[in-house]
Amino acid sequence: MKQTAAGPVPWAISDARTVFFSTTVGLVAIFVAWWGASGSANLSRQVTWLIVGIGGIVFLGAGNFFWLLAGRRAVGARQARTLDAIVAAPFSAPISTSAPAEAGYVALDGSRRFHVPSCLLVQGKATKPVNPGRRRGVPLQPCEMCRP
Amino acid sequence: MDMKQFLRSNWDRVAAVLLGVLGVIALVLGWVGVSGTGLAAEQNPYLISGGLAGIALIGVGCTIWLSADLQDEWRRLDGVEERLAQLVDRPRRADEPVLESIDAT
Repeated sequence: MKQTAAGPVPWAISDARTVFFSTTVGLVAIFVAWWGASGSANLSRQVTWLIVGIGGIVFLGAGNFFWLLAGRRAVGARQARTLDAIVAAPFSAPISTSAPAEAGYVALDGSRRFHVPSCLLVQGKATKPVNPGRRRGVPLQPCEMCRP
Repeated sequence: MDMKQFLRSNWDRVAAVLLGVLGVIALVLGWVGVSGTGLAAEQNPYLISGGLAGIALIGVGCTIWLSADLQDEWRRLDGVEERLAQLVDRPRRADEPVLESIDAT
């Protein structure tokens, strides 16, 4: 597996120890509960062993849950870091974020809303390409229907 | 991809499926054992060995499968970070898309 600065897997060694311990203890508890219950014909004693078994499965489940939770959190945190790195990356050519007129936004004459050209509200009407930031000094609002 | 290569690259998912199948078999055997007797004292061991053990095996199988999914996501992020580092290190052509060019391998 490829080694990176973030580590080869989303988990720390302590997470692996925890899930291994809880799974082993849980399975052993279930086995001991079965062993104890099958060796006794006393119903109340069997119920006690049954509770031991249920305790084992709860312990096992909790350990597995925290394992998955740790992995999910690690992946989520790394995704956030990666997105931050993408946003902050010093690309040689700037990424346009201003949505200029050539990006395809249009407006009707006299309207203060801008649309994508395929918007039903401007279909078949005379439109002009616009920069959505401002038009004659007045900021344009995005169309509520096409949501450009 | 032949079967051997598939099993090797997806060993964790194969193990998850096997555990799930074992868990279902344990549940069925437990049900057979419980339904074969009317005495509660004879039913309880089946309840523990078949029911609880079956649920535990299925649960561990699910954990292994979900862990494999998380590892896949982790490896994809490796690819994204590598590609991002390459894009940052070299000059970008004007007509070259940035985010679209990041392949998640």
